[in-house]
Amino acid sequence: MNGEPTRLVDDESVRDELRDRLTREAATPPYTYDLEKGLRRLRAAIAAESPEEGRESPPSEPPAGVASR
Amino acid sequence: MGTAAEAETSGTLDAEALFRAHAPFVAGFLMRLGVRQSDLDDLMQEVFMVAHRRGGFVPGPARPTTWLARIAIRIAMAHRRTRTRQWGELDEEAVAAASGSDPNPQAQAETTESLSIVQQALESLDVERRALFVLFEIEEESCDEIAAGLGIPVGTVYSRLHAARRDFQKAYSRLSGRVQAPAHQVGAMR
Repeated sequence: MNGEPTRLVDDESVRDELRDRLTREAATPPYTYDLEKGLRRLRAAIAAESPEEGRESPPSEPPAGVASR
Repeated sequence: MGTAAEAETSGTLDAEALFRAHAPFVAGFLMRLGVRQSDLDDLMQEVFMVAHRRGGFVPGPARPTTWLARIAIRIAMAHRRTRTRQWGELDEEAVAAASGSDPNPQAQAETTESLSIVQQALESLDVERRALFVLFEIEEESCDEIAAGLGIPVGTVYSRLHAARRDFQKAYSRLSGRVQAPAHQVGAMR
């Protein structure tokens, strides 16, 4: 903790213009990302992985339907 | 959000709770590492699937954000190796989209220019330095939290951060010298 440097935005020796731009950068998310869509996709990916993880599928029922497509 | 917050106070966070609480952080972090908007969806999934396979976040010295940042850095670096031609080019669509929420056209133009210069200066840094710069200067994580999350000594964080700030300021000076006058002044001068 002792050596924690001063952030550029708080450093008065740094040009105001740069500090303003860094403040603006921090306040503006650099993306447009659909969180709900991402969450649905993540749930689907996790669900698709879970049979392998649990190894609970009976040996007599291979996932042939998926594999043959 | 409430669910994730409750989970966070109780301890372990699974991938879904992590996503709910920290997806905006990870998305912004990946973009600032140089990932293009068109690749963001896929890389976000990779980050959180790695988090899932690791059993989620278990409380320790790292914060969930810096723990996810470590995963994101590895994935971004791997991605970079496959996309060397696009990496390093400014994602102008993303910059325009990010600044597009300002209703004042002049302010929007200035924000676009400002974001563009900062992001171009960031792109002059290698991924490790850029990651430290973003985590410390933009995301306001502490050096101790960054060290814990990335699994490196805090002294290494200080030295890499020092180098990152030096390189960033050098690149920034070069770029801002090139774009000296704000957009509205250029218009006034014709």
